[in-house]
Amino acid sequence: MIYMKRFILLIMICLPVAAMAQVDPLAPLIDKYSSMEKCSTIIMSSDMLKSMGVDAGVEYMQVISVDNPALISEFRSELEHVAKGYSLLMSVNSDGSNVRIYQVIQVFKSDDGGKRKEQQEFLMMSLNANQGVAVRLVGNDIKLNEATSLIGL
Amino acid sequence: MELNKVNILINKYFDGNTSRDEELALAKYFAECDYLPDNLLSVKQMFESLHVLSEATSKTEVTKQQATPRWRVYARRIGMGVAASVIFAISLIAIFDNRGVAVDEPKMDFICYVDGHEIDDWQVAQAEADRILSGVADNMQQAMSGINMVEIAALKNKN
Repeated sequence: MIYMKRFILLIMICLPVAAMAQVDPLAPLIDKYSSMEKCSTIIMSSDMLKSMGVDAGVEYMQVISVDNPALISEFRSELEHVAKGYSLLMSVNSDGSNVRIYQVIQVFKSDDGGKRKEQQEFLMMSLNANQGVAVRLVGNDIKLNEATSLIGL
Repeated sequence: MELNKVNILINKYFDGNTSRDEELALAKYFAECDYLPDNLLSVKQMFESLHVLSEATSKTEVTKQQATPRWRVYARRIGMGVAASVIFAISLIAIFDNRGVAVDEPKMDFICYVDGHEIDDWQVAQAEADRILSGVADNMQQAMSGINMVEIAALKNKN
């Protein structure tokens, strides 16, 4: 009986952590690279993006840039681990650069009346020998053609 | 008043059948008489205490009425109601006014770290985002031009 209680308690503790990990897979990487030299991390609200000329239904954008060549391989493996939860839309290799775009659509029950609510996420990765960049866009109705204008597509 | 009549009135009083005048007459009798038989002494004490009590009660009522007249109580209540309504209306206006401001003004929320240092200036953060994204854009365009060249080569081979 006591083991059963411990098991239920463990599940209750782990569930919110697992849920948070599912919601924001880049958060641990942002925490990690925020304190490092030659690295930049940015999280921007939709209004900030609008002021940059991007009005593509994006709720927020996360960017991680690693400009330290010694960290690129580690960053690449971390991003590949994050990307396991996404489906690959596009991958291009050219002159040592690898660009990938991933997508995931999550369906939630909204708080009011159980209506289904979709949340779109796009994860863009650009990696070469000198620089690694990850961009994550989150929103309800992201217009991909407008969102990708951010990265010149 | 004769003692017999007093006894009759007392019996009537305890039966609850006395009029106001008869009760006053009894009270006056007990207040003024010099001699009373033993059986009426306790009744006299009771009348005296009731008389004191009724006087005290009437005095208190008068005092209360003098301190707060009814119109003043109503006026105070109306005043408090008006004041509460004004405060409520002002707070409603403030809430809706703030909402309007929140909708009109963009929320420039951001978190930015460069080289381990937090950036507070949103314009600096925007410039950093532009720098990173333009780097990605260069990579993308290079990659896409590679795709186009492959497509062109494939088309040439078909033709």
